[in-house]
Amino acid sequence: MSLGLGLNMAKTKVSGVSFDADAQAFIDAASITDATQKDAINTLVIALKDGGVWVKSLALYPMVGGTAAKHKFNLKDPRDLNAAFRLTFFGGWTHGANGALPNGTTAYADTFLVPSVDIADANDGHLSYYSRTDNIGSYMDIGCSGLSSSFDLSCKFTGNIGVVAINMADSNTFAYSGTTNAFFIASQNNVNDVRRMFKNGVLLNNSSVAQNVNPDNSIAVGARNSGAARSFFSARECAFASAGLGFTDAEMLSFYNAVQAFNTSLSRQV
Amino acid sequence: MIIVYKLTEIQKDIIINKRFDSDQYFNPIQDIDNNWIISKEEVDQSLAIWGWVKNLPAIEWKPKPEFL
Repeated sequence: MSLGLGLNMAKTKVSGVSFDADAQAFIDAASITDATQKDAINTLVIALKDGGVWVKSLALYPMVGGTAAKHKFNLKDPRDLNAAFRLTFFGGWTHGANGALPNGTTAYADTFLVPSVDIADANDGHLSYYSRTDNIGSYMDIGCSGLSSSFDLSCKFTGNIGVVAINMADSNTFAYSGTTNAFFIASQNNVNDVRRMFKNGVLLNNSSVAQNVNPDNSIAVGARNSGAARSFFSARECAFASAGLGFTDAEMLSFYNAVQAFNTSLSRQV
Repeated sequence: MIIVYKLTEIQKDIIINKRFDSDQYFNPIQDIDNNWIISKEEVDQSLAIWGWVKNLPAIEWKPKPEFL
């Protein structure tokens, strides 16, 4: 919107540089002062909006800034509140310039995003995890379960299987022996019973599994949250994670391109 | 071999869901022998007020089996 005074209400003028207002809000909340990080965040937000990803995402965690205090913020809503899906870190995380590394034993982060409450349609959802680690283990990188349903993603699980579940009675597993240092997106886009896993913007698996309800526990980053306990603690360094509604194929590719460009700007791409 | 640090039941009750630094919380869990443990990262990063956790006995991490 323009006021006719040369002012653009969608941007904030800071030291002669105009940033997207949402990017600036995150930068301010997370106290990001590094110029490279600020530029990368701004470019990321613009790309996510242009690609149709922003409007469909409820929580976007860029893991930028190097500390738990900065990594906790949700790019989509950077208020320091559970209601804003701000992360709370539990257990043994190691935070640094490359992201947040869970220890595979006790570490997880609560998003406070509950699929049964925050995502209206059980046929519509996504999870993503940018892993900088290539390994295998009984790791659930992001997700939850409840009401006999799972909503989770594992880049690769023990036994060389990929795991993707978007409101399913059982986690959908498929044979996968490839690398795990990549950007994985699990998505269902209002096509009944079809769950898809993408790796670096390319379809990895497309499966038809019976529809179930949204789980009633909050999504965890770095583990599966089953309410009474967390399980399958991951040991994969996270350089981005997200949750929200499902994507089209074009949006999936836009999402990958935006996040990959973001991490490349920060010299931590895989 | 992964090293973790063993807690008594009382110690677990003291630290569970408490901040160990400005923005992170302890998460004690049980191993295969039902010992309560916390990780090396939690011990190493904990603030001075939690100095006693640095004197916890170190044991080998033996996880409970988990299945999908």
